[in-house]
Amino acid sequence: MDILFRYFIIRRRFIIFCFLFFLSFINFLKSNQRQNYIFSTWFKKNENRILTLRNNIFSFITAKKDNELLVEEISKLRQELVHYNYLLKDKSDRDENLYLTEYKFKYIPARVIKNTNKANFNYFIIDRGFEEGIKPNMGVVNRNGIVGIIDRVYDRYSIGLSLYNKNVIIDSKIKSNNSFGSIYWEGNNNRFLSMEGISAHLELKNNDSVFTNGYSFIFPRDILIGVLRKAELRVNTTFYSIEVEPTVDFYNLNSVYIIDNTYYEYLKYIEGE
Amino acid sequence: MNNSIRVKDIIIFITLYLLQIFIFNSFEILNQYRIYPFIMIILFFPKKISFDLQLIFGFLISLSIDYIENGDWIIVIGAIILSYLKKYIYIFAEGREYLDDFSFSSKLNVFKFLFFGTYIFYFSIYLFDYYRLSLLHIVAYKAFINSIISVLILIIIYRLFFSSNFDRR
Repeated sequence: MDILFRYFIIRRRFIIFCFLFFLSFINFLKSNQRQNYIFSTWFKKNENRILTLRNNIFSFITAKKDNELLVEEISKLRQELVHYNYLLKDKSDRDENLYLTEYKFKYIPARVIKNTNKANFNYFIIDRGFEEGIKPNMGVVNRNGIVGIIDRVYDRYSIGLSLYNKNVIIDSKIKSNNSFGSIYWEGNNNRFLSMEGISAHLELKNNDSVFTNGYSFIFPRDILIGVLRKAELRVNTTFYSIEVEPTVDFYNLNSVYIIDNTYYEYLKYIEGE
Repeated sequence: MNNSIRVKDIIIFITLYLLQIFIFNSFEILNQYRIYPFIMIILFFPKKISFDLQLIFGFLISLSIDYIENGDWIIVIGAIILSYLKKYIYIFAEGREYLDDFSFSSKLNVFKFLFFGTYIFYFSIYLFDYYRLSLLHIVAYKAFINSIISVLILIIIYRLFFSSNFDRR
């Protein structure tokens, strides 16, 4: 609304012109029968096109609001999806504990307002803070996968560390063989993430998917992190050196979801005990 | 030129307005070409008043003339278009942005400003009068002839009544 108001202020001359022109044109048509007849004929012929154009203009104006509502709706649906997936399973296959584990995550929609990509400690800022229930150590995802982890929280904004930050380590697993490891970034503008902890006896395939393993209290299980691009055996070790390409496009970050683990503090407490 | 509204400017504007109402509204040259000296008021209105106000001023002055003439709002449309495009006509004629002063570096530029302003005005009114894109060539031709006649008459008016003011512009 503020942007629209500023636009009106800046373009006021053009808007005054349009208003006066429209006013004059209406009166011109009223006073001139021939022109009125030509215009009416043309209008009837192109009515559908004009109405479509009008609808397009109105949709453009209301698009931002609609988009926010949709994002809100998606976050609720994500929540419900876990519930329905559970109900769809046969009773014998239902894992009550797993369901409870998954259902404790809530999704809060947010928008990225700043994002860095060139440094070794990259970060992003989102337009949600304390007031919206954001806390440090919440996970951040978008529709393509993991984006990062919330680091610092202010009243209305929060700063998150992206996957391209040397301080971020994510517990992960490889889809085909369910082997667990950790993902981190080595820095120096490398576009691949490194994965370690995968034993040399396992067989790995290129383009295999890498997901979260659900061991951290931050992310639920099976959220996509990236795709395995290269795996080499390290010299004198029994582990692979793996390169993973993130599925999230960090040069085009816009809508994200903050994952709120409602049991995070409790889990941390019992872990401390 | 001092850009604030001076008494002399007001006298010029009133004179042009009265000439329009009492003389030029009542006849057509060669039975088809109307002359509208009032567009000089729109073209040369002092710059100190903002463009937004100039637009509204152009609308009101043309509306009053149209009302007296029992017109059909065509000249109002022409005057609005002229008021809106005045800034760009100035840039085209003078070759520089319309800043704090509304002045011309040569008489040729004054002529260019006057001619293109007049042409745009007549082009608009003929366009809405004929109201057919297929007759665009006739619109352009008639607007051209009418502009030449108008500019000649407007220059004569200025030479007769306001030549000193004209030179200073």
